[in-house]
Amino acid sequence: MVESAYSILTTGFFIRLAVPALYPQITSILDNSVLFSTPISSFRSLQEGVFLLTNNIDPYAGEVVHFPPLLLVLFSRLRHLNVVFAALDSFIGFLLVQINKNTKYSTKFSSGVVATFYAFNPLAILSTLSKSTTVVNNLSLILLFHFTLQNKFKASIVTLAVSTYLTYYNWYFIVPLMFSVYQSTHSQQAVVRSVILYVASVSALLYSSYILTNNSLRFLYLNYASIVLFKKIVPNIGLWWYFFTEIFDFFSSFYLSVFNIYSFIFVVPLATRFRNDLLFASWILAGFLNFAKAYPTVTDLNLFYSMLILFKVYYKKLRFSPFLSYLGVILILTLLPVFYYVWMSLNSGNANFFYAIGLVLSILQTIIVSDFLWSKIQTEYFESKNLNIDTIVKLTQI
Amino acid sequence: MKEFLLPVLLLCALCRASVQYPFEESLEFKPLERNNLLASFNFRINSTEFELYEPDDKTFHYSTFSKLLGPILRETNTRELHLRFSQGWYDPEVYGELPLKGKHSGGTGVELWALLEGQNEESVFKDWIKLVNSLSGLFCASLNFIDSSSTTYPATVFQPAAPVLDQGLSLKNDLFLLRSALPREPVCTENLTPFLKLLPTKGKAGISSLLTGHKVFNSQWSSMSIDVTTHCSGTKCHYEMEQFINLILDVPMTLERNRMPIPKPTPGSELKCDPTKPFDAFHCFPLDDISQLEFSLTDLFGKKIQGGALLASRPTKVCADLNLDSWSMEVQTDIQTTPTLEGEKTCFVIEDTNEYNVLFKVKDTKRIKPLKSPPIFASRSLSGYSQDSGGFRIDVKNPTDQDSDIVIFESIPWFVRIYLHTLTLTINSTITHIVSDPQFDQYVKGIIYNPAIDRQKPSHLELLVSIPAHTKIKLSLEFDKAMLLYAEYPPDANHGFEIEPAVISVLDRDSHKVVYEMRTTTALLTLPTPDFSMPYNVIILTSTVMSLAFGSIFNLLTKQTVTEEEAESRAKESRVTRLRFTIKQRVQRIKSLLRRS
Repeated sequence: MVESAYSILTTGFFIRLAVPALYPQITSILDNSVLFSTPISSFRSLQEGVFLLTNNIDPYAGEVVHFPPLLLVLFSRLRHLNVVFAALDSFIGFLLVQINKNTKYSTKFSSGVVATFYAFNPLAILSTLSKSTTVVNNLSLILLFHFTLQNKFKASIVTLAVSTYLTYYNWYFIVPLMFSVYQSTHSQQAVVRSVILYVASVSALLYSSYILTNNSLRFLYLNYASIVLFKKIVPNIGLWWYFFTEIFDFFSSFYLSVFNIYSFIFVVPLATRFRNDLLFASWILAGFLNFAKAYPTVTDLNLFYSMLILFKVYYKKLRFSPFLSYLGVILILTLLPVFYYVWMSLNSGNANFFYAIGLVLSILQTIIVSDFLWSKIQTEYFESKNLNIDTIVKLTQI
Repeated sequence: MKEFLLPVLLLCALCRASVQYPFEESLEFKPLERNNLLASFNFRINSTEFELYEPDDKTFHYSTFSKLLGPILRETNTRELHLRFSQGWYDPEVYGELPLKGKHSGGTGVELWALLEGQNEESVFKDWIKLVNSLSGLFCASLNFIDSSSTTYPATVFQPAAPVLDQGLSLKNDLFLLRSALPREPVCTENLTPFLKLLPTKGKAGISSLLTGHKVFNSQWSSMSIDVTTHCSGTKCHYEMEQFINLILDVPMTLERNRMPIPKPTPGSELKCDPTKPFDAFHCFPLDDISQLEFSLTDLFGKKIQGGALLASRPTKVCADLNLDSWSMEVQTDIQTTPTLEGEKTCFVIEDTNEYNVLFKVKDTKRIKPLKSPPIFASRSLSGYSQDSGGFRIDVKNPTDQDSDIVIFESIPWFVRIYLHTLTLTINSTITHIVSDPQFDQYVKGIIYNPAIDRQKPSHLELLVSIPAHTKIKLSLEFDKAMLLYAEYPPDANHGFEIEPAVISVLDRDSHKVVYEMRTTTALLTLPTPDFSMPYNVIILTSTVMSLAFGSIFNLLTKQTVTEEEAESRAKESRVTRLRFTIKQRVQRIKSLLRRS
């Protein structure tokens, strides 16, 4: 069965290779679409950064490049990016299969199904083809979950450090990770040691970047502060952009802090509440971040919806079947570029159309996230009362 | 009283005759194709000598040099000042090369560059802001809108015109070259009036008396320029100021407008139709332009020259570069004046206070002296139709027999996020090289690129391109457009944003000095705009969705899970329900008491 999973993933790899070979414009089309690119993660700004770097122009002098210096150096060395991205994405598929095997859930899909789900997932394929750096980010998070599940904490802490270095929001995952460390070791010292290791690895990465960019701290501003301060106002599928375009200057900084706190607010509660299932907590956190973060893309959404396959155990108590919610998301994702096109190119609609559909997407994601939470809570209740999951008991919360 | 007046007047007349001020003026006419006429006004003024680093409290005598401008220059340590006001489109295919090799013509709107002396970039920038604000008041132009987001520091073009400055004198500080442009500025009468006020004749005498707003800005193309340079010998320095006004007038149109200020369609009986093409009562292909013309300065400018500028060091001179086979020039004034031939040109001088008018009689306006073709043709356009991204495309043609080196200078506002790696070169619309190709460097010899910083600095791009003889090249560059904040959009945001013209300079292949300079037209860029009526709706709707998500997840995480039956029974037991029950009972009791009574 596992062998067949690998052969399916290999097929997926070749699909990811074949499409750009047959249709080379696909990358620039996806890269220019609002769904797959933001100024923070787009492939064209990565190319610009690599170009400036190879021509000895400081990439951090301007405001186009928002990538950490080490990533830029890495990409300036890489050739055959089609292969690289296809390989990275197939590796995500492989890790998903591994995570699926290692989870302790009573019901789960077979490796073959998980592999098929990822290999032929249109969202995953399109994300890979857009060549956005969010693919690397997704990989780092998946790797983190994989290591954590295997209790390889040192590896997961280093992965998390790299992940944090890549994208600002990933440091939120330190909280569930620390809970995992505590769960398995039951010693506070281990937690403190882990935090120290984490801080040390992040500092090492930042310091080497500082040296690499000729002792300049501007990369910090471009990589992290521009996300926190929402410096690049460009339409995306999140909630921030229209709010900060329209908000009066006077309130701007207040709402910036509110939005940033909002994105962090459930990190600790989720980890505390689901101490026993931190993979689920992290997954819900990723889902919450998809609409609470500053620059979400479909590639970010892809991480959440690909991991949905791991939680078969909670499908039973869902109000909406995962198939239905998946279809809903796909529907909204097809509407989004249409309304964007109507606004930007045809000029027959204005920003409100796109914004409204973006709101619907956020509501839909809220529903999916809370639906899974409720399902999880019900399942926990049944387990705690030693009831059969199929018993008809109507639950409520007070 | 009267006895005194006469000697004073006599003395004044003597003064006029003997004292001469460092001021010169001349006017030149040049017929162009399609009945256009180039009128070129030139004024030169020198200031008195001064020392560069003199204490602030010292008083200065500016002589004919404007006292409006002098203190501004001294206050801001400006060593060179170049200001351009232009409007209209210069069509090099009809007008030939730009007057004075384009060195005194600006791009559409206002353009300003200056050489400032200062200790460091910050202090110089402060002086620059002071300078633009002062000039803004002086010239009634929106120069005060110039800030760091539109200021560039050119590296290879706009270099100092008077290098004397660096040689003769040891400067205390460094020199900085700053440049900015306002492409959206409409050039108008209110800019002309202060322009004339800088002249010692103040537009009352000499050739400047011809310049009235409504005639100057009726031209096809107009360019006003002011160039102030500092010249030093030893420790003594003086300012030299040159002012140019170049106008291209469509003569038949100007005459028509004099005849009929409110345009009406030509009546059918006066239409001249092309007999080689079919014509009847409904169809008429009008004949080519009129070829016989007779016009005078009064027709063109509505005024006569009000005498010469008598305080000038040289008498006022009026010249015309005519093909004498079909053109003739007649001076109309009280005393007999006949124009003389000076080299190629027909000229006369004005040395008295009489009114002068010049009458041009033309047998065939098509017969003009051959126009010089410009060494380069260039145009810039925007590509792409979307509001979120697009591209620049610059077409340059070298029509000459020699290879030519050009510098393309672009200053692009920060909200246009350009991607330099998309720079593509196409030669004769056949061969295409992208910037990373090795062949690209054969044509583009150098790139100077200072990327933009949001709200602080524009992108500054200078490309040194070598174009082979008789070759057309196309350079294209892609960009993304950023959205602005609500308050940053100007009124009528959907009109779009003017991108200032690209400046293209042709370099001498040996000395690398600029030999010809031209500007493309401005580009109108539309940015994505939000709905300006939405702030409250957006705040409310976004906040609602966010609180919806927060509320539902918060409830799920914090509340206790129970079965529905248990929930009901607990609800009965809860204190609130009990309280409500007691209140109900009391109310009932009171009601029953009231009923009884």
